Amino acid sequence: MAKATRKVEPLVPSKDEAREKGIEEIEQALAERKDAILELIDLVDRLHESDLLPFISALVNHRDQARSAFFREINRPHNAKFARNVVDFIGFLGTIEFEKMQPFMEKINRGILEADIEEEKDDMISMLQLIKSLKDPEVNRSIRSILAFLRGMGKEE
Amino acid sequence: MSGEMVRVIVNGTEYQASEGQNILQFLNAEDVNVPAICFHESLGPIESCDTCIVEVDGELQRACGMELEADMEINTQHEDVHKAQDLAMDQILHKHELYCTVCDYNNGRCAIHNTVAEMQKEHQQIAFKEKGYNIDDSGSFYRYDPNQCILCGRCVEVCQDVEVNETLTIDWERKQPRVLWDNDVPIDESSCVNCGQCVTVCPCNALMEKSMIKEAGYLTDVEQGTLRSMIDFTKNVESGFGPLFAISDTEAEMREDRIEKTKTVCTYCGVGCSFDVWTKGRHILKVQPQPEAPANGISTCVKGKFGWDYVNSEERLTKPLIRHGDTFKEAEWDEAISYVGKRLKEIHAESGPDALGFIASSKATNEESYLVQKLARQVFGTNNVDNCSRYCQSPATKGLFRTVGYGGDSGSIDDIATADLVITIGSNTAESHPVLASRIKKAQKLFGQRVIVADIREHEMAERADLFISPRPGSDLVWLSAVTNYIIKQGWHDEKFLKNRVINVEEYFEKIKKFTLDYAEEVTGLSKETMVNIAEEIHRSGSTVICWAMGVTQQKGGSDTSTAISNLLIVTGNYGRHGTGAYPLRGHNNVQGCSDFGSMPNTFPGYQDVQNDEIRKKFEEAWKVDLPGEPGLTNHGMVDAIHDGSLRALYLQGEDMGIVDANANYVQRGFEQLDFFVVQDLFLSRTSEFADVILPAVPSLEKEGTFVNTERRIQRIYPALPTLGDAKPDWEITQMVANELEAGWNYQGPAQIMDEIAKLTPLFAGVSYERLEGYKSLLWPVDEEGVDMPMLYEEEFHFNDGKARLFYVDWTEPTGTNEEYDLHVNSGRLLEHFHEGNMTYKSEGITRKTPFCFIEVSPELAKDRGLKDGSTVRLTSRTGSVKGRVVVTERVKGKELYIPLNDNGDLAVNKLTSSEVDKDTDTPAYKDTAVKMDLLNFEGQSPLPHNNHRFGNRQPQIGIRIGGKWKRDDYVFPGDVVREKDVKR
Repeated sequence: MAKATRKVEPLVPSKDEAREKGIEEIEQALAERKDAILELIDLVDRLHESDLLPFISALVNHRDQARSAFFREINRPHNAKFARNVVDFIGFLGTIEFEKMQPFMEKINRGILEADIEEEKDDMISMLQLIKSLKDPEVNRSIRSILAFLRGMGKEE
Repeated sequence: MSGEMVRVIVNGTEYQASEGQNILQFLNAEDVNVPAICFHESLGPIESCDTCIVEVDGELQRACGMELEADMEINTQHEDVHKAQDLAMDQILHKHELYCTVCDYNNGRCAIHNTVAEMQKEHQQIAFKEKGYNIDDSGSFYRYDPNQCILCGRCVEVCQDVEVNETLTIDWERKQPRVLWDNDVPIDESSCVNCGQCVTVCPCNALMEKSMIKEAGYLTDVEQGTLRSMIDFTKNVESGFGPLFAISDTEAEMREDRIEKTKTVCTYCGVGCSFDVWTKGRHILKVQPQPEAPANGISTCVKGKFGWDYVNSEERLTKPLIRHGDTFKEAEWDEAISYVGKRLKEIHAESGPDALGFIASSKATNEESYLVQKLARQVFGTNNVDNCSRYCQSPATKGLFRTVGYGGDSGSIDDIATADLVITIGSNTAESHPVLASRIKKAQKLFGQRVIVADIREHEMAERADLFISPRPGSDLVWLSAVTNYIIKQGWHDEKFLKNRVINVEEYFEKIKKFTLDYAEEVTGLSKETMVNIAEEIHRSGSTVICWAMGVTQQKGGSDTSTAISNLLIVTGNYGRHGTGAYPLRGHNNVQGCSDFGSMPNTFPGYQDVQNDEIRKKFEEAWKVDLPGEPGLTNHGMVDAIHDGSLRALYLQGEDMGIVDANANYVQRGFEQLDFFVVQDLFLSRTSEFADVILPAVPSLEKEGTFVNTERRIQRIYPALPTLGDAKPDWEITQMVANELEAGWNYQGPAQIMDEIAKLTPLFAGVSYERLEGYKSLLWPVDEEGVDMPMLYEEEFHFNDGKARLFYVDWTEPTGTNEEYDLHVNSGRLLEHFHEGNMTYKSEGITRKTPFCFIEVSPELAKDRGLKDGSTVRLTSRTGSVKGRVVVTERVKGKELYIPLNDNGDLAVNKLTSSEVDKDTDTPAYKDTAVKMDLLNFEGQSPLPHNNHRFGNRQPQIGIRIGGKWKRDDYVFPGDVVREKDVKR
């Protein structure tokens, strides 16, 4: 003989029981992840020493304002221009063929060394000397390279 | 000729293809890459986005808008093709702003994002421009952002021609076209039924589930101003789409980390829709149907798409409850289970096995049904085990057992959709089986399927029917038999079929003569012409299916009427071919499976008779006990046995029997008399209020298992959420109880239970969890090799001689109304609520639009009795009374009332229903209820709020009427621009 009822008495675990159960769960979780936890403690130490920890907490606490201010600021024309330049520059870097430029750059370096030595001298180079030097295979190779470069640069897409 | 294999050339390579095939689908299937945004595999071509332009025989054309012809030359790589596609995409990006990283739809499946990426488009030529409309977030479950909408029309297509609710259109005439709800009203005030399919097919974030917003992304939960700054910033910084996508793709990948996608099967009706549930922790982000879902494809109704709030309800039980006097005290599992074990053991010892009764749940899994009957039979030695199919579809099963042999639908939903003629009887299909109803609505609207609806109430299907008939309540057997007789007299019966495949023909032909049209006219109130008309419709149709539901079965002659339906199908040869057969539409997700898997007083799993010695011996050997050979009590019989004192303990799994059984007052008085009552449930239901112990169970989203839908289709569910609190899956609870009684069960999971079932049950011999993985499914019978049978009776009927039987049945007159109880009460479902409402009233979005149960009254009766919308009346039957507010509607006529099932308080309809039952199966005759009415208060607010979809204003049309777009002055076909044709300016 049972009359319908909706009365329910919750099972309230005593404070000690609840606490004990909680601690048990935490202990287990810690033990399973010993290495990661120790590393994390180290990291927290370093953040604390460098005063970064309070800074991060404040930032997290005020994340909505911070996010809003950040995007408002970064959205101003000159900042946006800067950011866009960064993106464009990264894009530009992607188009340069460094592998092909490498031997060329080495040659330019050697050229600079030679030029450095020649810079000490004061005497004039005559027209004849200039034409004569075209016969020098080293000079001739350079001239050819420069002409090819000029040709490539002048090409229309 | 269409379908013939022909030669075509694609990019210089020769292909064999079937003529008439859609070019885009052909190219996709051959892995020739063509972008496409508006095309959706479940919707077909819409021709609105222009991104799939290719060159066909030298002309630029939309691939999705053309069919293959012999010797066609198709080029997808021509420079002009790319130019035209690029132009089309520019038009789309003019309408849609790309801020993917901070968009909640950035989940790797945005069609715009993915197509831009695929086309390797870096810049847009036409800047984005807002359309100047506000976001519409007036609805309960989804919002529309016109400024992100690309007007692809997928949503309109799905609403008009898949769901066929006909709410959405695009107005191409206005300056800025947009998607409209009804005749341009807010979503919330429209005819929208919240099936959510428009949201499911939207290619971008224009239509989005509200549960996704500010939840799916890492950066989307910010206030509007900041969001705008973030959008502007990303746009300013990103010089091309490449970097934008690099960042947004990374963000999308990160989401995978915290968003789980789990396949499940819906629990709100017998259609068996399956879909992915997206969860983040316990938060349900959305339900995402998949085209490969076998029963429903991309379709859902409001409950399946949005009705899952109950899973996280505060009211969920999380600890076992034990009664102490008139208070339940929460307890730990050990204490509760040992108490249950002790009490059941005591009663078993004192009064014998049959003093105990067990009721399984048609909402729980097959494996859970199997364990309940195993607990009853193996552990307690009783066949007193049943389930709630007793309340609904046992009569249909009986009718099919008598005539064709299997107690299930003869074919699949595809057969219903492809029939020439569909007859529904006593089925409010559009509200009770919405996704299945949509298949019929679509077939009728687009493919000329004929639909006859027999019902006493003019519901949506009745409104849409080619022929709607409204016979007197409980008289269906008579008109069905008269139509059958007339067909025979006209010589329209299928002679060859009857000769080769049917027995009892002559005897039946002789007896059926009694059902003349004159007699039927007198009994049913239908005119002779109407019945002749029905006979002619069936005669003219190459294939006919009949779907029926509770209007047939919940009558004193429910089994007989079901038999008469099957007789009519046999006489006309409508079995064993596609597009034919008998379809009792099962009401709950697993009402079919719960019986299939053995929770029946007379059968083991797979309908193996408990009285058959050989079968019993098989189970005795497997379970190592002696088993009783006499059928046990039905659940109706159990209630009687409680009243006469012979049944002392009841073990009930997840069923609110005190509300859903007929004559609820009688049932509840029975519960009060039980010596011991155990209930497994999610909530403190009305039934569990009477329990001695309540064991907290978990819903489908928190467990593994399988369900069987109305098609006999077995499908798997997977846990999408962890179990809540200490609640456990029903199978685990049942196992704990069994083991408390030293049963020694050791199931690690439902897969193991299924393996045991398969070994013992020929019907499921080849069923295993591997064969049901993901979206795979099997329609029983399944042989040992795993071959299933989507369509029954192609070769033979399920009897030893392989032949169907004509089984003559006579009419049982319903009790009906009389002078005192002069109004007839019909009861049934509402689209948006389920059952007594324990689950769906937990959804705020549903409840705000349908807050209360109500009583539908005809305008004639309202006038006669002086009622208006909102008037409060009391209805009194011979068994009890209810009180509720009135809705005056033409859906009901004369002295008919309609009360939805969705109340467990003052308007719980089963306080009115009686203990009268179907004479063959004990199924309550719920639909044979008479009442008298007293007006309590004339004034009152309508129980149906004005924003209920029933007050909406549908706008039927076929498709999106794309011609309207092409005619606009500002539209130019991108192909014409590229080829510099003489285009309009």
